[in-house]
Amino acid sequence: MKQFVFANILEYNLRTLGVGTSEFEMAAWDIPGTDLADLAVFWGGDDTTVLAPQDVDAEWLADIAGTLDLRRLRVWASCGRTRSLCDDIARDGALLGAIRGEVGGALLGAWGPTPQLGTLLRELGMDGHSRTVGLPDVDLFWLAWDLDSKAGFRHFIRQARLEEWVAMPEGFIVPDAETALEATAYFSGQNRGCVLKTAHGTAGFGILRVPPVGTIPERDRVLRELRSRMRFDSGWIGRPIVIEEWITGRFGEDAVSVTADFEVQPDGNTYYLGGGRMRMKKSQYYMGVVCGRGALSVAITERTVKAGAVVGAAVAAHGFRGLFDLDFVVSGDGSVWVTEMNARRASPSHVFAIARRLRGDHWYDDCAVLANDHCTLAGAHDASYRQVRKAIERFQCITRASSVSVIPTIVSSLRRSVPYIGYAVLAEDAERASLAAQEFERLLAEAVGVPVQGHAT
Amino acid sequence: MSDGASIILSNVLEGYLPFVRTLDPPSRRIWDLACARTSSLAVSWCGDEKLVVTPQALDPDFVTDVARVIGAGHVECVTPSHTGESLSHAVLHDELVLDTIRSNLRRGATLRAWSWTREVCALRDLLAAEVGNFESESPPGSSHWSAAYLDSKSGFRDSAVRDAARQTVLNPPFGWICSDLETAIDTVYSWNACGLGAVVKADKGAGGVGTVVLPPTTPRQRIGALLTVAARICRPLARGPLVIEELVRCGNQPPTTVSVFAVTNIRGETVVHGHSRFAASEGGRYLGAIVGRDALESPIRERLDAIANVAGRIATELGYVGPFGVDGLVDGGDQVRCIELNARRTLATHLYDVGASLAGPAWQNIIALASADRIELGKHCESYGQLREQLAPSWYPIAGAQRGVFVASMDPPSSMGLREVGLVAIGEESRDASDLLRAAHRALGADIAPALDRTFPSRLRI
Repeated sequence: MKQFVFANILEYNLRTLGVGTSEFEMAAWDIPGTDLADLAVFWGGDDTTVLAPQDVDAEWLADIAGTLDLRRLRVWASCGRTRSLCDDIARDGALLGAIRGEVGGALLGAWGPTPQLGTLLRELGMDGHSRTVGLPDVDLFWLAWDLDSKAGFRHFIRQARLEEWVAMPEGFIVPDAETALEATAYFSGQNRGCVLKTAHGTAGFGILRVPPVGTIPERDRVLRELRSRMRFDSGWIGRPIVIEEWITGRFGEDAVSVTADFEVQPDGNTYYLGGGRMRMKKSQYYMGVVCGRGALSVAITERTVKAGAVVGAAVAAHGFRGLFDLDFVVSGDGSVWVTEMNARRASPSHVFAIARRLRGDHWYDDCAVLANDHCTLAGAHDASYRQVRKAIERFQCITRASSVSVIPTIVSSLRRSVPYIGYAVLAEDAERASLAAQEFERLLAEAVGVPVQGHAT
Repeated sequence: MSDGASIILSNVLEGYLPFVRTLDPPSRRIWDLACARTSSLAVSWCGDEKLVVTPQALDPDFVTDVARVIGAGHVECVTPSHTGESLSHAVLHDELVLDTIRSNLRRGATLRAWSWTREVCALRDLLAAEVGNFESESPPGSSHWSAAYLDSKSGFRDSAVRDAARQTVLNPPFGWICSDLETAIDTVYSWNACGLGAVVKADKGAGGVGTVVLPPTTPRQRIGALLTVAARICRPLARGPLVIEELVRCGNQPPTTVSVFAVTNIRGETVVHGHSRFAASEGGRYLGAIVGRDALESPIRERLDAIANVAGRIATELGYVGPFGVDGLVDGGDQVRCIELNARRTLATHLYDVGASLAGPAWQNIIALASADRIELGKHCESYGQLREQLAPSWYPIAGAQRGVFVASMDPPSSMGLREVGLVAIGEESRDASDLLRAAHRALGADIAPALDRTFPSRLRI
C-alpha cells in the first residue's frame, strides 16, 4: 500500500528541549536530527514517499530500492526554513499541493507525534488512526508525549499497578534538579549509585550517573556537572527530574542495555517488532544495536516481550495505538529492569524493517543484524557515497558465498565537516555480524583513505 | 526553659520560597504579607513554654492575649534585626537572636519550624556543631530533600501510587504528571471530549493558588485560552511539572475538603494531632478550618488516621521526620481521595495545639474550633487594641465558659493599620464555633473575600 512518511525527527527532538532553549543549544541538534531523516526510507512499504527536511543522494536511494526490492521509493524534500518539517511543508504550497494530489488512499507515518504533525494531518484530513500507520489518533498525541517522558511513564506504570510485570529501578520523580541533587543522598547513603534523568532526554543525552559513594572524586565531578547544567541546560530546568538506582552489570561493570520495539495495532493487540542489545558510547550514548539470533538470551527476550505486552495492553486501554519502544537494563544477576518508554518510532526501527523485508516476519530466528548509526570517517575530505559503495562492493565480493550483506543506512552525513555514515550488517548470528562489521569498516577505511572509528566490536 | 519547651522558627515565607520566587512583583508583595501574617500563628503552636522567632516583630498585647487564651506559662518572641526572604539566614546573621536560641537549646528546648527547608536544616546543623546534640523535630542529616519531594504535587502522586497497598489507602484521583502546559491543555481537552472534568495543578502551587478547576461543562474551545491566561497570571502554571487529576465530585456538589495533621519522629512513629474540615472558596482556595467535636464523622476520622499512618510510613522510609498534613476530598461514596501532602506545618496546625492546650489530649471529643485565616477588615482598624475592643463581646472566654473568639494571626504592625486578621472561635460544638466566628465577622464589618482571591481569580471569564 502507498505510504507517506514524515521524517520529523528534528521536529520531535526540538520539543524535548523545552521553553527557553537557546539558539546555540538548538543548533547542536540540527545535524543529527536532519541526517537521521535518511532512516525514513526504510520505514515504509513497497511504495513509499518520504517527506524529509533535506534531499538525499539519488544513487543511494536507487540502491536501497533495489536491495529491498521496493516498487517505488521517493524522497520529497521540504524547503527547510524552520526546524519543523511539518510547518515547512504547510508553508510550501507546491509540496503541500503535491501531497494532497497523491495522499488519497495512502497511509501516513512519521517518526513521532508532534503538535505540528497533528495540525498538518488535520489539514490533510488524515487525523484518524485508520489513515495513519504507527501513530495514535491526533486527539491522543498528548498521551504519547506524556508516556514518552521519563516521569510520565514511571508514574503511569505505578498508577496502573504494573510493577509486578514491569519492574523499574527504585526511584523518584522530583520537582526540580536542585531536589534531585539533594536526593542523591538517599542512594549514596545506602552505598548505591544513581542516575538522574531529564523528563525528555533522548539518545543518552539528559542523563547523569552518580557513582556510589566509594568513588568520591567521580561523584563530586558529576554533582558539579549537574550544578553547572542547572544554570544553562534547558533539559534540567523547569521540568520534573527522575532519579533512580544505577543498575550495574556483573562485578560492577556496565549493565547490558536492551531495547525492544512494539506496535499497538488498531484492534488493541500488541505486536512485537524486534529487540536487541544497544551499542553504547561511553556507556551512555546510543550508537546502534545488535539484534536477532544470538544477540540476547531467550530468557531476556521473553521478559522484554512480556513487559511490552503488558505495557501495550495498558496504554491501549487508554486509547493509544501505534509504535512504541521500551528500553531495559539487565543487571549482573540477570534481572531485567525497564528504564523508559519511547512512545514513537525508535532508533532501531529501520533495522527491524530491513530484516523483516529481507528475511521475513520471523527474521530474529534466522539472522542477526548489527546497526551502527555513527561510523565516523574523521579527516576524510570530499567523502562521498561512491566511496562507501565501493567498500560495499568489495565487501560483497569477499562474502559472496555467505549470507552476509551490508546496507548503508545514513549517508547524508557524508557532507558534514566530520563525515560519518550509518550502516547495517546482516549475518547468520550476532557474532558473525560483528566480525562482518569489522571487515566492512576495514574496507571502508581503505576506500575513504582515513581510519574509521566505528566501534563495530 | 524546662524539658518540653520549644524554640519555634516561624519560617513561613522561607517554606514557600520555591513558589513565591516564581511570582511577579505585585503578587509577590501580597504573598509576602500573607506569609508575615501566617508567621504570627506560631505563638499558638506547641505547648506552654516557648521561644518564638518571627521575621517581623509582633504586637506584645497580641502575644500576651494568645498566651493567656492557651494558658501558656512563658512565651518569648524575638525577631532578627534584618529579615529578607529567609528567616534562617537572618537568624544566622543576628548574634543576639542566635545567642538566645543557643542558650534555650542548652537548657533542653526542642527546635521546631514551619517547614524544614534546606536553609533551616543548615541553621540546625550549625547550631548542633556549636551546642552539641539537641532535640529537633526535623529530618536528620541530608534527608531534607524528602520534604521538597513529598511537598510537591508530583512527588506526592509519585509516592502515593508506588504500590497497591498505599494506593488503596491514599486513593488519589486518577491523574498524570505532565512536563509542560501544552501537554496539559491537550490532556484536559481530551478528557473534556469524554465528559470528564479536570484539575490542573502547578507542582509548587500553594494555598490553592496554581490550581485551575475545569469542570466537564467548560466549553472545549475555551480550555486552551483558560489555561494559557491562568498561566500568565500565575507563573508556576507556565512551568512544569504540572499534575492533572480527574475532578472529584460529590453528586452535583463540590466535595468536602478534609485534612489530617501528624508528626513523624526519629523512631519512625506517626502521631496524629487532629483532623479538620476545610472551608474553601468557590475556586478551592483555603479560607479556614473546623476541627474537634462533630467536625467530622467517625468513619472519616478513621480513614484519615489510616491515611496519616500510611503517609507517615512513606515519609519515614525516605528519612523525613517532622510535621506533615495530608489533604483529601470526600467523594460521593464517602471515600477520602488524597490530593496532596504538605511536609510542614499547615494553616490548621494551631487549632490542634490550641484544642489540646484548652481541653487536654481528648479535646477532639470535648470542644470544637473554627478558624478564618483571611478576614479582610471592613472597618478601619489602627491597632490590635482597637481590634480587640471591636471583638470584646465575643472574646474568649465568654462568661468564664470554654467559648469565645481570639485573634490568632495578624498583619505586622504598620502605619497603614491592620488589613487582614485570622480568628479562632472555640465552641461546644462545630455549629457553636461557626456561629461565634460569624458574629465576630459581623462585629468587624469584615469581607470574607480575601485579597489573595482577587489577585488570583478562581474563575476566569474570557
